[in-house]
Amino acid sequence: MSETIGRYELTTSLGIGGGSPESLDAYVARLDHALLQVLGTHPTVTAYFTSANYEAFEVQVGLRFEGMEPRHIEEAASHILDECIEQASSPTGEPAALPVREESTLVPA
Amino acid sequence: MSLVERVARNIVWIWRLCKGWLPQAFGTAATVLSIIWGGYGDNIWSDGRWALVSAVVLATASLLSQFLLQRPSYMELSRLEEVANSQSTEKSRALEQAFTVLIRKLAEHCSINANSDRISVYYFHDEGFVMLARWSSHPTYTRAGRGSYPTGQGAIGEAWDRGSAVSILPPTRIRWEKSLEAHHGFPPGSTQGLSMHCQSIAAIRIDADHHAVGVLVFESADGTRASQSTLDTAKSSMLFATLSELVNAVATLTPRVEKITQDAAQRSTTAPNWKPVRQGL
Repeated sequence: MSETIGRYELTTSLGIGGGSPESLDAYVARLDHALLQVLGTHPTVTAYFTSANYEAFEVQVGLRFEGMEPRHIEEAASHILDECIEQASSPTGEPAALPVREESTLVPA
Repeated sequence: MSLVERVARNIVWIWRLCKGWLPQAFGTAATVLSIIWGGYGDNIWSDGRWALVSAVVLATASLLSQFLLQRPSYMELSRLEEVANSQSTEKSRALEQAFTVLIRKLAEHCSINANSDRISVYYFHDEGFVMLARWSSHPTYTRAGRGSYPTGQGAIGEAWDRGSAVSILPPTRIRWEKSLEAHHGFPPGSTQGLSMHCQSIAAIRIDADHHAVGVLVFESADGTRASQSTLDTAKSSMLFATLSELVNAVATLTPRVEKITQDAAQRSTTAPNWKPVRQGL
């Protein structure tokens, strides 16, 4: 099975309930910071990205995994994202509802 | 090519030209002569007789050459075409049935053969994908939802570019359609006609002899059924190896098989800005 272990990229969309473009930008910045903190404890994730989609009002998050069996990546990504979403939620309660994972795609890097 | 071969080729070419055009040439000449014959007016039976005789001789020659030289006849060719089309359809159907049995067995092997699941196999041809076979125990899911399968759309396109793709899609139909259009290359409005609202897709590229020849796609209306484990199980199966060989054989019979290239890089217009987690990576 070792030949299946390589570099994989998981891209996921987080749907945000609503708000202004400024609040989306602020949320992306907090999520980016949370990812940097959380990923420090996950050696199999070597790179990441966050980007805001103002049309769909959602955040795109990408995680690059190395040295992990691809069948476990989805589960690992769920844990990471749950932790990051929790950390990124504002003390003032913004966004009003917690972001929801709309979709995800896993492909070899 | 030797001189003898060149002469032989030229003779064959001239013979084919004569065979193809002689009846029409005789017929045209007969028509022209009959017009000339009519131009003699009151003298058609005296001075113009030569034209009449020549026209009749040429018309007879045209008829004879039509029957004797042009073989097989148009009628025979039409009949042969009908037979060939019918045989081709039967053979395509037999091939499709063979592929359907194979992918059904593969679906059973990968435990993705429930009523919510579907498996399809495509081969690359002429800048798009042609569906070779599709199987699902759900009759609605076996229908082809899209008329064409371009390379840049959906899980087929992603697996073709990257080698494999596993997608989990939104459970609500509206969000699902928006997601396909926003993230998976579907043109606006094209997703409404899709019969299956698949929430999990696992697709793998079929490679043979350093060429990408097709894509195998597992889909499910259940968001947890088509996964990376499905692809891992399929990849290690001899059924997949057999399917790859067969798809390669079909693709080789068609003129265009695309070499694996960096098309993915060309297609992704807005590459995300990846940041390293740790310095030095």
